[in-house]
Amino acid sequence: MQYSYFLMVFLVIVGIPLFMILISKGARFVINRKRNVSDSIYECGEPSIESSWKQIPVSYFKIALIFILFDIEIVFIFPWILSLGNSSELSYLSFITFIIILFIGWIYAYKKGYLKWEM
Amino acid sequence: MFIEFLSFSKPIFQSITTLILIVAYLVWLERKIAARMQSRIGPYLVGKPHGWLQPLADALKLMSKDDSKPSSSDSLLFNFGPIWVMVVSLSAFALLPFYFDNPMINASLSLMLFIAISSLIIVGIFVSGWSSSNKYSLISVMRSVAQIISYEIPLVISLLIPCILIGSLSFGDIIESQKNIWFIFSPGLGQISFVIFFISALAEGNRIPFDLSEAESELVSGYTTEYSGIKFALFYLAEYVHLFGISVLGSIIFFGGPHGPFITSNLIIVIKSLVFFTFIVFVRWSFFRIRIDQLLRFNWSKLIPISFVVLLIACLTKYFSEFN
Repeated sequence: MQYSYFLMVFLVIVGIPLFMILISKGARFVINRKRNVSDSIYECGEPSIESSWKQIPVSYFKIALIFILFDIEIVFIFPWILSLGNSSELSYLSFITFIIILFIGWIYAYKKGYLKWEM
Repeated sequence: MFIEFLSFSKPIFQSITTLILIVAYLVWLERKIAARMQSRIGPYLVGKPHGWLQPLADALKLMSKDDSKPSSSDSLLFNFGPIWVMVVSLSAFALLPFYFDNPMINASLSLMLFIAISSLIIVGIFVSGWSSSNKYSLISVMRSVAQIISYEIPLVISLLIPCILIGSLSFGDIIESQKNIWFIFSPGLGQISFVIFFISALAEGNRIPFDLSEAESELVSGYTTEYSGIKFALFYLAEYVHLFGISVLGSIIFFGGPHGPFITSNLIIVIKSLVFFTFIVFVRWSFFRIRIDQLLRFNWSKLIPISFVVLLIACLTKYFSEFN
């Protein structure tokens, strides 16, 4: 399957301009196009105060940091599964050790309270 | 070489074009089921038997709507968000052995590629919410990112459990190994990993017990608040494409794919995933919405340790089946 992975790149490269054309031409169907108050943020409600690009609670970033740790662990599982065809006892042993070490890391984060949600 | 490439990719483009049609009718199906569950009729007037032209009417209406954009928004990213979401969710579908004989199923890493591509949707969602310079959208996307990246871990682990037992990551091998018995019926591991998969699939698809990013009562409409017209239609369609992709994935990994009770056909995948989708719709219209802290705490303190234990058990099962 020499084209398998190239095809995904091809789909994205073809798809993005296609939908760009759809969006830009879609505006041509609009008959009565007025530009007034509808350009403001959340036009049907209260006028918004100050910019919306402000600080965000730090809890989101903590979650993201712990996610990166666990996501890298998942990335390590994929090649292990691919090599299962000709594997020895050592490969299973090292995988189980790897998971257990990671689980200890989870216990540490849990005891420290990083997984709790606090504002 | 170009001709060869065209003949290779033809079934994939065919299945993507059919997919858009199927997804348009999924919206109609969901509205019908929702109406029945609430003792209403649902879409009825457009198209005589049961409003079957409703998706077309909706599409035409959304295309003729005014295309408004907040003046303080980031124009480039604002337009890029819906395109990215739609392109990514459609191209993830090229990997699924769905409806036509898809040549991609024999790619040795097709499951990994599917997971990798379908998790890129969050980039488009974040970009669109952030660039629309609306506080509701910003809160919505922050919640959405936290939710989707958290639930990705149990989702991937539950998908990897059958792969560990089979020893391969390609959809072709996974389907082939379920010829006699579906993975959902394998004792213990099958059921637990399916429950983990179902819960985290609901969270990945932003469906109701977990649809924090579109909580109407607090965040108006979430990251689609500032969008209108064709861009909103792209978001709406992409959500259903993603959801249908998840149901096709579930029916391939856990319910045997094209292997039916009596016959083996590609149509059976479509039927199974429609049943799966109907089940997701039932869940949507019978549950309540939970809070963001409950959502994340449930994931990090319950779902992830459980999925780790199941992963260890699967590894030990494979070990004993191979060396004893």
